[in-house]
Amino acid sequence: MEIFLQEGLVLLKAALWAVALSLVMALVAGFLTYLERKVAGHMQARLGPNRVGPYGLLQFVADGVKLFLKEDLIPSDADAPLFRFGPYLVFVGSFAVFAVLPFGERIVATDLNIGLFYVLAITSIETVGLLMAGWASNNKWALLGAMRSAAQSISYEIPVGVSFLIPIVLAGSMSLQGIIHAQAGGFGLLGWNVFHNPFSLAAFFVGCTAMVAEINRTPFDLPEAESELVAGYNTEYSGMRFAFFFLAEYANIFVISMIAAAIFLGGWQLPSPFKDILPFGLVGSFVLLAKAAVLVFIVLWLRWTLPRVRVDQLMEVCWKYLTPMALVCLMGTAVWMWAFPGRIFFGLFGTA
Amino acid sequence: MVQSMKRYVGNVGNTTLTVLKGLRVTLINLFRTPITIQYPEVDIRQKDLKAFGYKGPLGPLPDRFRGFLHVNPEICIACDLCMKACPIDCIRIESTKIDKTTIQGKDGKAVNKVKHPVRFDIHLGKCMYCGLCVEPCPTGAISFSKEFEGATSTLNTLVVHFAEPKGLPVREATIL
Repeated sequence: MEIFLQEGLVLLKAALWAVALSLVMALVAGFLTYLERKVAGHMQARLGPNRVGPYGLLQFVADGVKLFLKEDLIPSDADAPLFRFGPYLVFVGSFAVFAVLPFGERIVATDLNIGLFYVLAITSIETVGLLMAGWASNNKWALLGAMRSAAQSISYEIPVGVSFLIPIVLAGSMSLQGIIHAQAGGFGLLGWNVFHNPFSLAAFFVGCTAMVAEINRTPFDLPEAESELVAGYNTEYSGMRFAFFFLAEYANIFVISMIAAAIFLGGWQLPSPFKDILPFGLVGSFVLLAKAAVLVFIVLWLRWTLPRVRVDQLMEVCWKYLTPMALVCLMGTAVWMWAFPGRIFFGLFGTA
Repeated sequence: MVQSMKRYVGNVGNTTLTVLKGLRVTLINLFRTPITIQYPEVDIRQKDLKAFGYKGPLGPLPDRFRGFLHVNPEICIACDLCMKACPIDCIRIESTKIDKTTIQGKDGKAVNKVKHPVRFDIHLGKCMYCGLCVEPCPTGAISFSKEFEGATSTLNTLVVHFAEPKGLPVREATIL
């Protein structure tokens, strides 16, 4: 009896986390669509959405309601079961990452000991979903977009994985919380992995570039390429199924920013006097979210700055530049740890 | 070997540099005053947009803006020049003889008025705003206004009567 009760409690906890995280995901993704349009607007000397709610803040709610009420179209020549299943797979691939995202020192759904590995693995499901959607649409644009997406995500998984290895090597742990714990240091700043050595600094930029490419964002948005492929893999989608793609796409921006902030930018690390001002380490949570917000802004900023790369350039950037650079960074970090054990870059000339 | 290494490092440096340059341009633009005029709230027919809280560099409608055609039947001499000039025949004039009066013309010379329009219809749904009717008018009776909000649910409301037929009192042109 007691075992059942315990099991039930575990299940209840999991269900509560799932509900809370899906709310977080929907809100964050919705807010990001608003933010993107606002940033795009102002970068082009426009205003962006400003009609629904104060400063247009409720625009994403209106968009959501609109998509929800739309007719659910399935093209007659489409492979209906696959067509229906694709968006959910994409959504799940993005949503599942939220389970290990560290929102604070004590706020995390589950702190997997293979956290980063799990992130890499589960996000790969999205590629399957995109390919499924593109194939099942029975549409040339969709198929081309899906094929590009598959090629791109598989290629960029490698530089992403290799640059993920650097914080793993530095922390000796794959758990996201473990990596953040390992980044404790002077002023809550000097311990950051980016400041550990020049190689990890380079790895941060390599990793971020590769992650932007992996979530198919501009300048690597070939799978969607509005100007070439109509809308890529989601050409035939409408209504709620389209909303799932959209949600996953924008949630991904948040996910990569959170992960980059956690593994390279010190996560919720704070100087000790600030740590216990609010309960549950909430100050740290805000710091982490602020770091993620800055990275999110940079991702949006990049989109409205850079033109799209060609397919051959995309592969060149990945295989000729990012992958070798990530490998060099990994080896460099390893050599650094062997040559200056326990020393960070700023600690070289004094005591660490 | 050395050369290709140089090119490789150069490419990486170049990419970083050009991306940063691009980011700088967009960042500067991010803080520029938006150029958008919030149209229904800001009345662009007024001279002073600043009074509506608009901060951008755009001005109101230009003086030579081609809005709906407007006719002042009092100074119209019913010469039919506009009707003949119209390439798509969207103007229709019927007139009656009256006692001779003189009217100040566009170029300052006096123009004799011996006819008065009893019917002056313009189909704004057909009008293409070319301005060929405004040019020949000797008295400036037909001119462009700054009105441009023409959305309507029935096409007939776009036929504007500037003079009431059969000698009825002249009605001010009402749009919609």
